Amino acid sequence: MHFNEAFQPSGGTTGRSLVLFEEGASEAGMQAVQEAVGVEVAVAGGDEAAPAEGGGILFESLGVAVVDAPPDQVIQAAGDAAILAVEPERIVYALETAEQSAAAANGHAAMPPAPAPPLPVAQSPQGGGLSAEYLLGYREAVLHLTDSVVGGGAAAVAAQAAAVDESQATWGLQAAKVVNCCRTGKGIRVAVLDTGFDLKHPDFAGRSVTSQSFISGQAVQDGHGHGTHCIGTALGAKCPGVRPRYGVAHEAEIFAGKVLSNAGSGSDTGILAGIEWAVQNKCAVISMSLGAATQPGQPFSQVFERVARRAQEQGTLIIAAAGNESQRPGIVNPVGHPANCPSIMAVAAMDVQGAVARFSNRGINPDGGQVDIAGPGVDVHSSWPMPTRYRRISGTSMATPHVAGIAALYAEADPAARGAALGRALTGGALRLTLPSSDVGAGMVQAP
Amino acid sequence: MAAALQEAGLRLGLALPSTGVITGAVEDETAFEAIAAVEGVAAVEPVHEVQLPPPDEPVQ
Repeated sequence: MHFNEAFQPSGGTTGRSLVLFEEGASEAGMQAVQEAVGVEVAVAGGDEAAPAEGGGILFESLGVAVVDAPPDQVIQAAGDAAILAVEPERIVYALETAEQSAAAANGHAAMPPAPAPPLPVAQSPQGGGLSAEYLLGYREAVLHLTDSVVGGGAAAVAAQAAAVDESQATWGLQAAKVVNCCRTGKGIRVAVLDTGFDLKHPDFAGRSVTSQSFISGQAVQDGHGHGTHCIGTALGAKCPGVRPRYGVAHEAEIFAGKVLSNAGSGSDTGILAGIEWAVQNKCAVISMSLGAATQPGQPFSQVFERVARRAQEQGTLIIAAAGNESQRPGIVNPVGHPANCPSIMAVAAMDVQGAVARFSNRGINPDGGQVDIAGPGVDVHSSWPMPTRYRRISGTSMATPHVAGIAALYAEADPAARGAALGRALTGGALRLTLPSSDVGAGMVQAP
Repeated sequence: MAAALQEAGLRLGLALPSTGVITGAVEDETAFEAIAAVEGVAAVEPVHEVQLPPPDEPVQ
């Protein structure tokens, strides 16, 4: 049981306490509180709207009581019989706009809400103070504007002092909270559609690997490197031959589909064949660190959108890179094909300081074309074909397999998390950032 | 359906039943209209090409 000391409400308290009981134990808990504090408690549902003076009221279905005694008294007196938390009861107010609170402070009638300028630079307060919320919002807007123009997140300033320790695990695995996550992707099949895989890479000895080439005249063996790097990030070993650890779903089954040639080229034909193969093989996740540039105003592919939806219906979620055609802050391009399809998760790239990567595309095009989530995508260490063994590169291509590997962890944790539901689990669990959703979607992907 | 598509000018490539796609080649884009008109066709599109940077590039 804990006293919620974090709550020091500035809005004022009533002197009463909110008491949270363990599920199914509210009656016993309430008994204990009654005896200890000496309050008379009524069960909600009668005519009482509030606890009687010196009494309490129990909301049985919620497992919560309001007791007319201050929190420290309740805790001391009740010991820890079935009580999970005690908090002071807060006074709450109807929300009003900055103009309304300023007007109220001046004693004028509340003004009708007028369209407020985005940055009220020229406005001066009319006598009575601007609220703290208003000023904080103003500061946030200025910081955001500065970041957009000058580039680099405001967080970068704060985080620059913090050195990153990559001796045990890559910064990306740390940022995505993978390191201490107990999930491994066991029992989940992840398809990576790319330039193939170095089937002889020592870090993957003993892993379940199924592979198929969709490039006529070329074997799956990765002659480029990109595919091996992405597979490493999504699926690499917990204890690779040489530290740091760089892979997410280290017990998932690897499905390596070669849809890009050793020269890194491919077309929709091969990609669609790879998607078909992954769906037929019941892969819960398809990772595609590939795409073609799009123009502002360009609609998404009807074919890929339908394919992605059909794949979802069959339990497969497609995750793709948002694309690297941007050069922020001056040039910002829209999310590429096929990540721009609404039913495909588009992944943006972020760096170790919490800023959007300079090359990461933005959700510019309406009706699809949005960035759904962000992942670590700058200076990413992962596997590379032998003898090079490892390499450090950047791209939305590197952010994508972080998300794909984490998708496998969610899929393992919940058998119902498949297709669109798996996508919602990922975005629901993402770390919200103070950056535009057009750049980072729901935020930085996090392991379950 | 394959026969109807061929008649409309599609040189059949792959049939992908799980996702309901047929890939193929056409003489030129004028065939798209005829292919789109075949019963059961939901959409027809030209293929996009994808190209990664060379392996030694730092941004991939």
